[in-house]
Formats: sequence, C-alpha cells, structure tokens
Amino acid sequence: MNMIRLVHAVSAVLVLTMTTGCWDRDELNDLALVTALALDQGKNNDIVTTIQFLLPRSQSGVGGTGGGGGGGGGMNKETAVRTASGVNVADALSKLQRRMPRKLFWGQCKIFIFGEELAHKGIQESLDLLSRHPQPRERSFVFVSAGKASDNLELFPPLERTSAEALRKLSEMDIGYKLTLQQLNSKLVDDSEALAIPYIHVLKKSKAAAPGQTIPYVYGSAVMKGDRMIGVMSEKVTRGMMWLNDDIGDYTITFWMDGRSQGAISLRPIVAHIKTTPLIQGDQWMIKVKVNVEGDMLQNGTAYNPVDPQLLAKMDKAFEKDVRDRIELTVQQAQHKFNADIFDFAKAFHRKYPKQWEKEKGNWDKRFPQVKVTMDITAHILRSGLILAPDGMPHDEVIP
Amino acid sequence: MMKKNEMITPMQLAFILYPTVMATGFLALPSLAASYAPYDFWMIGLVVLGTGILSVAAATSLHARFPRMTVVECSERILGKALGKIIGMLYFLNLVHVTGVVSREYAEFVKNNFLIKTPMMLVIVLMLLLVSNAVRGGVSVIAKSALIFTTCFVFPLIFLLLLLPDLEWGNVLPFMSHGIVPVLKASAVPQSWVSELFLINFFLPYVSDSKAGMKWGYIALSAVSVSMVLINLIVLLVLGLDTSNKAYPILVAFRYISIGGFFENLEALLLVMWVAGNFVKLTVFLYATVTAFSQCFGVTDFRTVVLPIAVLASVFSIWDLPNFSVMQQLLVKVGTFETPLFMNVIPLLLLLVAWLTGRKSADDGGVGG
Repeated sequence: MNMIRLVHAVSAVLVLTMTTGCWDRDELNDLALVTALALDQGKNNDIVTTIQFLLPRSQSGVGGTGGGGGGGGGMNKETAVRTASGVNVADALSKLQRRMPRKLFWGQCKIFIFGEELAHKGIQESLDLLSRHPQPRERSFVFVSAGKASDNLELFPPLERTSAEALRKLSEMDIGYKLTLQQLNSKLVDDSEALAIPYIHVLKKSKAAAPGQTIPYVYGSAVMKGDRMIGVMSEKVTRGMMWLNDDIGDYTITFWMDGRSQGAISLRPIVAHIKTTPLIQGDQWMIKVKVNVEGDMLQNGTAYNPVDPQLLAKMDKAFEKDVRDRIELTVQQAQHKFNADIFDFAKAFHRKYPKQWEKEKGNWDKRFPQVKVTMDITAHILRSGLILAPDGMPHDEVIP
Repeated sequence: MMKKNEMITPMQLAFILYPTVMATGFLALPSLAASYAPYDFWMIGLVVLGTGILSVAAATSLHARFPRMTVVECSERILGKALGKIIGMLYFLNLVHVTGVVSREYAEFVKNNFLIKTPMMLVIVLMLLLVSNAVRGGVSVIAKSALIFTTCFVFPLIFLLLLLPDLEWGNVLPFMSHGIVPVLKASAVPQSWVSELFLINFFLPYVSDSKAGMKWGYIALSAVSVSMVLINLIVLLVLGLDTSNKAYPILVAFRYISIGGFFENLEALLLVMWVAGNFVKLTVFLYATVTAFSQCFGVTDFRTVVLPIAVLASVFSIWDLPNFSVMQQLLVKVGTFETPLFMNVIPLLLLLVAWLTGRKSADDGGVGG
C-alpha cells in the first residue's frame, strides 16, 4: 500500500511540475517585445525587415536625455528599431534575431506595414509567414506605406508610447479605413480578388517638435489586384468605398450648397444604412445601392435657416447629391481607372446568382467595368444643434 | 473483473460521451469540412445525426439483448467462442490504435501552438499517465471527473459569442449552390467521430437505469449536433472562405475575440478546453481498450493491464505517423472507414446475427441479468 502511495505521489509531482510548461518558459528579461514589423523590398529581390521594439522603462529614460533636441524639451524614446534583410521574411527575421540579444516576441505586435515597392511586387509570400507563425495575431492591422515602410517605425509620437501604438489607436477609433490581417487573408481568397489596404504617410512634424517627433497616419488606400498593388486611391475615394461597403463609422460629412456658391454645411454624427442588391437582367449585371442616411448639423456656412422646412428640404437635396457624387466617383475609379472590384460585387453576385456566377467567374475582369450601379438615396438632416439660424449673422441677412 | 457495485448515473453518461466526440472534433472539423463544402459546411452537424442515432441505437439494443455485457462479451455469446474472441481482439486493436492517434492529435496541437520547444513525447506520456491513473480508479472515477472536466470543456464555448460583432452573416450564402452532395462528402469524417458514441456500450453495464442511459445517450448526441452547428457557423461567419486554409480554425476564432482592446488573447481558454476535453476522451478510450482486452483475455483485475496498454497506446501515437499531414490523411482516409466499421457496422451485424439465431443472454442461463 505504501509503495502504491509513493508511486502516486511521485507521478502527481511529476505531472504537476511538467504541466507548468517550464520547458517553454520565456522570461520577460529575455524577450524583446516587437511592436511593429515593416517589410520592404531590398536589393537582389531580398526582403528587408525592420522591427520596432519596446525599450524597458529603465533604459528609455537614458535615451531621453540624449535624444532631446529642438525646443520642446527632451523626447522620451521608448522604442528602437533594427533591420536585417534576407531572401524571404523568415530568413530576414532569423538574421535580425542574430543582431538582437533578446528573443523576438510577436504576441504584442499589432502592426504590419508593407513598403510601397514590395506591395507592387506582391505581398502573398510575405503574408504567409504572418499567418503561419503562431505568435502574430490575426487581429493585427495591416498597412501599405507611402515610400519605405521602415520610415514609419523610427518615429516618436508625442502622445503615445510608440508609433505603432499611435497607428493602432488611430485605426481603432473607427473613423477611417482599417483592415486586419484576417480580413486581408479572407479578402485575398474571395471572389473579387481585389481589395484596398489603408495607405499610411508620415505626418509632417510641427516646427517646435524634435526630429522624428511625429506619427504615421492613414490617408487614402492602396488598391490591390490579387496580392499586387496597382495604385493609390485618395482619401475621398476611399471614403466612397467605405460608403458602398457599409463601413461608415464615426464620421463628419461636409458638402457644398448649390455648387460652392452658398457655403458649406457639415453634419455629425451621421447614421447611414446602406444596402447593395445585385440584379441580373439578361446580359446586364446591375448593383442597386439603397442608401438611407441621416445626420445632425454641426456647422452651417450658408445663410439658410434650417428651421424653414423648404430650405431644409433644399439642404437635404444637396446632402443627397453629395453622397451620390462620392459613391459615383469611387465606382468610376474602381471600374475604369483600376478595374479592381474593391467593393466585392463579385461576392454579392455569387451569393445571389451562384449559377450565372460560375459561368462568368473567369470573365470577371471584363464584366466588372460593365456592371451598372444604380443608386436610390434618401438623405435627411434631423437636428440643427444648439442654435437655429446661422450664428452671428444679422437677422436681415438670414434667408428665412 | 470490475467491482459490480460500481454505478454511474445516466446523466454522467452524457458528460462522458459529449467530449468523447467533441474533444478532438471541434478543432480540426471546420477546416476538414470546409474544403468540401466551403459555404455549407455548418450543416454537417445535422447530417451526422444519422450516424449518431445508429451508434446509440446499436449500443443500447445490444445491451438490452445482453444486459450487463459489453460488445466484446456478447460477441462471444453471439458468434461462439473462437469468432467472438477474434472480434474482441479486433476491438482491442482498433481501440488502442484510436487511443494512440487521439493522444497524438492532442499533443500535435499543444506542441504546434503552445509548448513549441517541449518534446511531443513528453506531452503524450504525461497525459497518458494521468489518464491511466483515472482509468485505474474505475468507471465511477471516470464519470465523476467527466462531470468536472466536461464542464470546463463546454464553458469556454460561451466566449465564442463575444465574436458577435465580427460575424459576417452573408458568408452562409450561396446556400447549397452545388446541392447536397458536397455537404455529405464533408460529413464523411465528422460522422466517423460521431459514431464513437457507440462507446456508451462499455459504460451501460454500470448504469443503474439503462432506459435512462439510452435517453442521455441521445441527449449527448443532440448536444454534439448543436455544438457542431454552432462552432462551424461561428467559424464560417468569421473566417469565410479562408476557413479551409486554417489548420485550427477555432483557434483563430478564439484569437480573434477582442472586447475593448484588453479582453483578448483568449486562446488560453482553448487550451483549457483542449486539455480538459481530451482528458475525458482519452479516459473513455483507454477504459474501453482496457475493458476489451481484459474481457477478451479473461484478465481478472483490469487494473494490472492499464499501464501496459497505455504504453502501447503511446507507441501507436508515433508509429507510422511521421508528421502532421500524415496524421490528417489518416483521419480522413482511414479513420472515415475504420471507426464506423467498429462503431456501426460490426455492432449492427452482431445484432442481426443475434436476431436471426434468436440468441439472448437468458438462453445461457441468465448470466448477468
């Protein structure tokens, strides 16, 4: 009996100690917390990887005293970057690891940036590692950078700890276009084989800021056909795409009354309900877009008094026209400038007309520019805010 | 033999059976199924009901005809001693093989995603050591630990509902654009897992009320069906067409959960589920293996053979399985036929022979009864 107890006790202790996973232990002191990864095209088809990693608090203070230039006092550098190149991402990262005294840890890395040149050559091969490796998270954000991707990492934002954190917070604010790694993966295998990736620039630093004391920010998007970048869409066109994809979040809309002659009106917040319905009539493939949008007045630059129902109706009309123009501009560019189905119309047709889609599948490049987009837009301004007539305008100048 | 006074309640039976099917099933299931029916694979949870009913029905009617006997014992009654022993031996070989493969599946996931540097053999051996300890305790220990661990296994599934804001409902369309055939193809592998519900047969002799045991068997089956639909649906709605390319789609789903930027990294929960569920699954399989062996060879105390058989199972976990893809191939190409053969076909044939020859346990002087 005692023997059995001993066996039980030993096996229990063995199981308990082994199941803690100490074999795979990683001490924080041995890890370099990677916050962002930038991938660029190097020479001879090499891939250049640049990582941004966090400096432990005790070390970042030392960097601060040395790094403080300019007029705005010392700058606290909490991150550093390191670069290596290789035949592919994995190779480059393994070389990078040899230049790092600590083990790279990807669990905190939520930002992946592709340089423009690499994006033009194709991102699929590099993407493979990010999805295959167990550490990078599927909810990380993916960007394409104007110029070199690594330039976005050696910035020291005045507000956030790292430029990666600044990018992440900007994306999570739900005001602009954003794309997670998983969404990118899904879109790449989807029917349309075209998508847009948020396009980032380095914000010009303010005069008093120290060198590099600025952030990267999203402006516009990179149009991808398959895994290759074919062009850049402006912010306005990107917004149009977000309208069509029903992706409009917290957002201010500004439009002109009567073609700039009467001043501009801004609305916020706006609530939009957008429904796209595919329709095939004979050989004509159509997308019917139904938009129902409402907003509250934030600024009124016209002389119109929004209390007057007739004038309000006029404003609604201008609002409606503006939404229509936005969507039309985007559709026009996607169909004729890029011939890239960034709205995933292909999926919409596939879902509703699986049989016809199977037939036209190989022909989508020719079919997509011919898809007719019709719009049915209802736009209403609901409230005028705290004041009624335009502020500070003599009463006789207000149009009733 | 086993202490006959050991009893389990019919409800505990359901707690034993649920992870027996779901523990390994829920992890690889969506991607295996999605490769056949990329938009419709959520339906396979319903299709597998057929196999499940067949398994539970076969197990309970065998038991009704031969009370207090397992399939190994009654095959001797039905087919005579020689043929019966061969059937018993085949059951033993199949069960020990499956036990090995299940522990390999368990370890592959742990090694691939969590304990990357730990030798896989260690992960396998430690689990089997724990499992053998539970099996040595007998059915009531298995049943009681299943009560705890199955709860641990089911609870994290609730967290998948946190993905609601990320669900893309349109992903279920187009609905059955290629008819029902792809869905049936996709359910070939899952139905082989569901057929494992037949293992209820090894526990029925210890259930106080076998009618209620049957009822809880069907309840376990419905729970399996509902969870399969739910899990597949959530994976489909989050990952869409990309599902078939993920080795463990449900892992991606758990990793994708993010509430307010701080409630994330929930894959640790998945590991809890995985370990808890596989513990129950492996105890059930190892217990069935040990029972088949000891009944076939007339071992008086089954406890003596638990550890040796566990060692044998650990051999089967690496034997002829050089890598992950061979293991996947085994599940798809061999498991699809091997498991239903033992869990559906042989039991049904036994029933048929028993019915034709009119054999009942009462014929032999009311053994058990």
